[in-house]
Amino acid sequence: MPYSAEINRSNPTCFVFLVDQSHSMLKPFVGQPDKKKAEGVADAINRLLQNLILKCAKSDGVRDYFYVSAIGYGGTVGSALGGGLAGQTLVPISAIANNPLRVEQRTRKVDDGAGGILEQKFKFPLWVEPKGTGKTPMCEALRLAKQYLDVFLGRFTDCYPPLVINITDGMATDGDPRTDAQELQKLASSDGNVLLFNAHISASQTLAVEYPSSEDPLPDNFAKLLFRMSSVLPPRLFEAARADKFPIQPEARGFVFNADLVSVVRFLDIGTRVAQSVR
Amino acid sequence: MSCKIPCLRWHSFHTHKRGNAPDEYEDAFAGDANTARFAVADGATESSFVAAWAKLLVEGFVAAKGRSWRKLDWLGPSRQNWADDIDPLPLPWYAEQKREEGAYATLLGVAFSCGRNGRLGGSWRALAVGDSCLFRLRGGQLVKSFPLVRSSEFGNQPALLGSRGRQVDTPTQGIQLARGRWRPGDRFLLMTDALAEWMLRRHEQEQRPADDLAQLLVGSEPQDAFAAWVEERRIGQGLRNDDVTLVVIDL
Repeated sequence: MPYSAEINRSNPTCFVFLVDQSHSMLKPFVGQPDKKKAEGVADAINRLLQNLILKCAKSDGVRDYFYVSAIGYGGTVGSALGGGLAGQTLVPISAIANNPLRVEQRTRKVDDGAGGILEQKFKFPLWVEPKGTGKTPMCEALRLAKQYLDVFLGRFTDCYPPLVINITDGMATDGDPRTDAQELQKLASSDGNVLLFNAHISASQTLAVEYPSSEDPLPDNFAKLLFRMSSVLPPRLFEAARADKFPIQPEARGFVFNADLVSVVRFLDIGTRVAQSVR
Repeated sequence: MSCKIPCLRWHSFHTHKRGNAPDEYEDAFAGDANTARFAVADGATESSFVAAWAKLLVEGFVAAKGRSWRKLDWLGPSRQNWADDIDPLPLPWYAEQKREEGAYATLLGVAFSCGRNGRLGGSWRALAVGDSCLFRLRGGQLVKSFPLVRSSEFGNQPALLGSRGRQVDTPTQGIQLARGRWRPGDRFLLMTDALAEWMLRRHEQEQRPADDLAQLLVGSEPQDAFAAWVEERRIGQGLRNDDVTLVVIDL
């Protein structure tokens, strides 16, 4: 059965994040004049990286179940990682964990268990800063992802198929991205083809759609195009999404509109999970 | 009510997940022939500081003779011990966050009592949170499976006991109890999930897994042979690659 390879340190899988850093990302969300889309995208990628790291974190360090690449596309196309990771293409997750750009101290409100709310401090590491320049060379970013994954799949031929997660506000300016998306999805390990998931962040934050199985609920052509580019969830991810109470239907795709894809990290099986409701 | 059961013998076996180091084993087991209490636990892969928590759970259960089976009030001191050991550690941001979440593990415990008035045999009670399983064999035949009874029931999100003591860390609906009678000659097996799933699947396929285990146990050095025995079944019989723990109790 495809998409069932064990993910472990000798047989890791790979995440490639494609981060839209074009000029249009400097526009604010509707109703939130102080929050630019670029900030939403940076939040999304930083949360994804945090969750990947936490999934692999043990008392003695971070186990390299995953390799990670983050490709920014805008005025230039290349690594979106900075600091000690600048210029690196495929990075073991432990190196990501130990090289954030900075770790901010933030606060969140939590239930105090006695009917009240208290503020809890927590550390929030950042790897990608908000950025917005130039056009939207999504096709070029997809081709660069393919190059990286060619290398990874040459080394880990039996790995759980790599996942490419594209976070964008919409339209490629360098061609029809479906062709490059299909080329990327043709890459495969012995366990199945590369998966391409898309997170569409729109200026309007009113509607959220997660893992749809048809494009009908999507409001515009950009979203529909990204939906069509997105891989169908393999059976185990589908079942994990069901177990997490996502109201999904058969043929659900790895696509979200105005929502994040952090849940994908939860769906991956590296061993006994702690239910989301417990965390 | 309980007494020392003269015929009781017990053995434990364990091995780590292939690809991991032996010290990355995150199951735990404990037993005390004097109180006739035994337990296994399976630490959740996705939580941290979990081997320590699994060990505290099994030791806590074995030492909890005379305590409530429903309230699990012995968990409080176990949680405090975990926090005392783990909370002072200086940690990087990711390990700190995992520590805040706490550690999680399944638990399966069983206690045996003698019959009254010198009657042969006696009673047993068991507690389960999650998918570690108890099997009772009589004459080599599987006569009881608890809490799971079919191999299809195993998943990767079992009920778990958490080390932090929040309401969700003692999942009331996930606590299952069972009881029954035992007779001299009965064998009880306690297993963490990978071996238990194998046991039930082989049983469903009428492959007599209890005989397979019995052959291992009559060997001259069953402890030494256990890891190889497990590995053969990982390769040839679909035993899932995971930490494996087995406690055998003969009555």
